[in-house]
Amino acid sequence: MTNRSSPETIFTLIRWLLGVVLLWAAVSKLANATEFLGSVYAYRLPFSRSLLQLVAVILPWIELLCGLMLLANYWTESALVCTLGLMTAFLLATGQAWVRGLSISCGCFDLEIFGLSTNYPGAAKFLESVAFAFFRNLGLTAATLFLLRRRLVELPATATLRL
Amino acid sequence: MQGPADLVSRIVCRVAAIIVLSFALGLAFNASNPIGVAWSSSSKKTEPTPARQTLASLSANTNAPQAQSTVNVAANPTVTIPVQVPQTSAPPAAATPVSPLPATQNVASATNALASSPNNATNIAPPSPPPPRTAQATTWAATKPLLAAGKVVLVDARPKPIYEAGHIPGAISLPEASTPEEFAAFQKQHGTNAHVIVYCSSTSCSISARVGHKLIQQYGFATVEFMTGGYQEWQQAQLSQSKTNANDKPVKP
Repeated sequence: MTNRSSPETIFTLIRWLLGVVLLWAAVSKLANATEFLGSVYAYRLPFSRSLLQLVAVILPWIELLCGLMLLANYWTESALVCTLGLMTAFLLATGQAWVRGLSISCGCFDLEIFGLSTNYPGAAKFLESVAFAFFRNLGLTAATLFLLRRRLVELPATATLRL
Repeated sequence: MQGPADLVSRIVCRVAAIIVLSFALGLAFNASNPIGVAWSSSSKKTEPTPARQTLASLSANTNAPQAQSTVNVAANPTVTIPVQVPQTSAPPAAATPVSPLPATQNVASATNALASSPNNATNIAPPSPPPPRTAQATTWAATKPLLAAGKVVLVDARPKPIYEAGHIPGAISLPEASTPEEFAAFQKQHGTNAHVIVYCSSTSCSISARVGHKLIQQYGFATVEFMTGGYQEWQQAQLSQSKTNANDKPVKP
């Protein structure tokens, strides 16, 4: 019994972790919408300003909804697909910024709640760097794929889908 | 038993629902948020201008503070560095009528220090280099009247894209990563006697303090302060103001 429930516990913990990360990112962006827009501009993406503004307004809510759904285990497969799309976009954005040598703050997470910016500015600067953001997104993408494979391939589809 | 096609169609429908709901929530939240994203109709061709151009374009608007600060210094020689003033939270200009500080004990102590040293003016211009100073902390509440009167140069120390996304009206962009030439251009444009106030994002941001210290220690500015609350403090003030205006607005018949 214990051996059977351990993998399920691990998957649940990973799902909760992904949900919390998405919620934290969403709240950070919603609390500082202008700062997030500035970070989006800083990635120098080949899109119009209007489209980037729309992205800055909509994207935090996609993160928020996906985070809540993952935590509540509601529409989990759809939330994971959305999250995978988000992570792929983040990987492309941070990857091209890293390759181009853009020195920008990720703008993803508010480190103030941990007091990092005040007490450890060097650590905060590293955690806000583009390179760290790229590898962090890589890890989150791997976690999302891991959960998605579990939900869609390993478990019976009819037993897991919720209305 | 549902097949893969049903599964895929169900997931696609739900993903579409999430996106549509996010769209609606995002637009509604942003419309109701006074400090949300401001829609701009500019296209991507409006690339961020270099700091030199930004400074040059704003030079016409910032000549007044420079002139006023020069007049203030000429009329009140005690405005310059009073090294005898106790190094409390009071900035060097604490004893002047245009002090950005509220009337706390710091003003009284600074006034007493100056009163007890009638020859302070003659001691303020030492032949040897003055001891290193640091930028002092201030707030938006103290900065606002000075900015309105054109007596300070407000500097935005955040990265330029963030400045372009939104900044305090009247602020000049001078990011921490600016080149020495850009800092020198700022120094040449405003003069080292200008009262400079630097801000960045919020209380968690230390860029404004570092830029303030840099302006003092490397470029010789006499009076530099940094807003501890940053842009977020200004936003909160705007939010409070908008709520007050909404409450005071008369009900239309």
